[in-house]
Amino acid sequence: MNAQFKKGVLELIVLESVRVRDMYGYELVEEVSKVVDVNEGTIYPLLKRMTNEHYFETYLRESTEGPPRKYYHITAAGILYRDNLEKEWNEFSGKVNSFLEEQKRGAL
Amino acid sequence: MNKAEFIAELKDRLAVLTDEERQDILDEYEQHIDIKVMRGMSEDAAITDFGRIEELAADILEAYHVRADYAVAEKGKKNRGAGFGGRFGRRGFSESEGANAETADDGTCEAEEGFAYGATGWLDRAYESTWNGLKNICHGTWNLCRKIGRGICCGVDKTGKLLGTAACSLIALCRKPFHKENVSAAEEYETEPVRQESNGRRRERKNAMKAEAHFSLGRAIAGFFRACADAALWCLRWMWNLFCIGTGLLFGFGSCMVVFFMGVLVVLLVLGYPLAGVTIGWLGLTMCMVSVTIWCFSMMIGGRKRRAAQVSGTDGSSATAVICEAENAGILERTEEEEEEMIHA
Repeated sequence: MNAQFKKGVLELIVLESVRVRDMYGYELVEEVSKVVDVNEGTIYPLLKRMTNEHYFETYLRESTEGPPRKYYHITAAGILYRDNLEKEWNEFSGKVNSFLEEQKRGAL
Repeated sequence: MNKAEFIAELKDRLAVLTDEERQDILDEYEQHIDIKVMRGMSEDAAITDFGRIEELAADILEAYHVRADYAVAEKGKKNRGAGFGGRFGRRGFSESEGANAETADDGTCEAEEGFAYGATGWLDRAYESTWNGLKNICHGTWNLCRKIGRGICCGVDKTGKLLGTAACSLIALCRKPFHKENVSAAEEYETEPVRQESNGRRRERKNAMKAEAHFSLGRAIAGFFRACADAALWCLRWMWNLFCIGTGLLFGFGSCMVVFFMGVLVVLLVLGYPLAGVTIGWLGLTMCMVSVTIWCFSMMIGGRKRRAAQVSGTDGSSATAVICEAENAGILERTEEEEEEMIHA
């Protein structure tokens, strides 16, 4: 998949994943990797940026497999931002799809 | 590359961040590698999945709004870049995010370095001069406001004193004829019998009765006006005090509500909601409401204490005003016997 496409939708995927349930970094990387093939390292900076922008808040939870893990929880601002992103994505993808359909019909 | 080398390399590349920020992100990567190793992957393979370390560092710095080229220049420095250079490095990156991200992806950031440092130096100076200018303007405005405020307060104070003195002088002037009349009548009452004692008791009695009637009428009119003035002042004072109490209570209730919502906002802020701006604004509103409440209660006109303080603390120029006020309040009100004694004296 085109790297710019991935970059554009990555925020929406991350926000939606954390909205469903709180997740820690590695878990989130696995979740996102199911949808888009993305470099693992890029998720953490994204999480950090979105935490700095108050879309996420973090807390530590004890783990049986090692040291405590940092969980990400979506905030009210994050939910609003996610809704906006979803709306924009739907409009954008809808317009692109309709344009492609029209072009196909014209070609036929 | 093993985990320790990777962490050391990344730490070196993120030197521009604070220790706390850097440790926070390094812990995440360290934990990620640990989990992968725990699930059977080698350290090297886990690190390879992160991609090129330069790109990774650039991505992390981008998340903190720091330009990768700025971070390279600042490598080794522990501070976060004082002045506008640091701030611009953090904020300005997001503006040119698209172009820089692309060049970072291709690994061709070096081409922009010369221009970036020149621009940063110039912007640094521009920022310093703008900041100083703004500071001076704010300082000047503050001083001007203070002077204007002092001038207004002084003017109001002086005008109030002048008006008070003028009003009391006017009242004293209005009363003067009655006092004079009383005194002259009393003198007449006193001196007439002496002068005309030999003319017979009948005439003396007649004159005395006439003088007494004149004296009583003057006193009655003066007393009536004085009572009217006292009543009017009393009514005005209580109306003002009631207005102050009502307004104060209204604003006091408002203050309680505002303080309550302030607490709610603070709790939400502590929980991490982005309400810093709203909270600061609300704090301002709270302070305003509390100030207005205190001001309303402080504007109430005091009773005897205040007047007593004024009497004890007056100088010669405002003595008339204070004595008039004290007389109106009944402090220096003389009894009829005292007045008669004074007239005789």
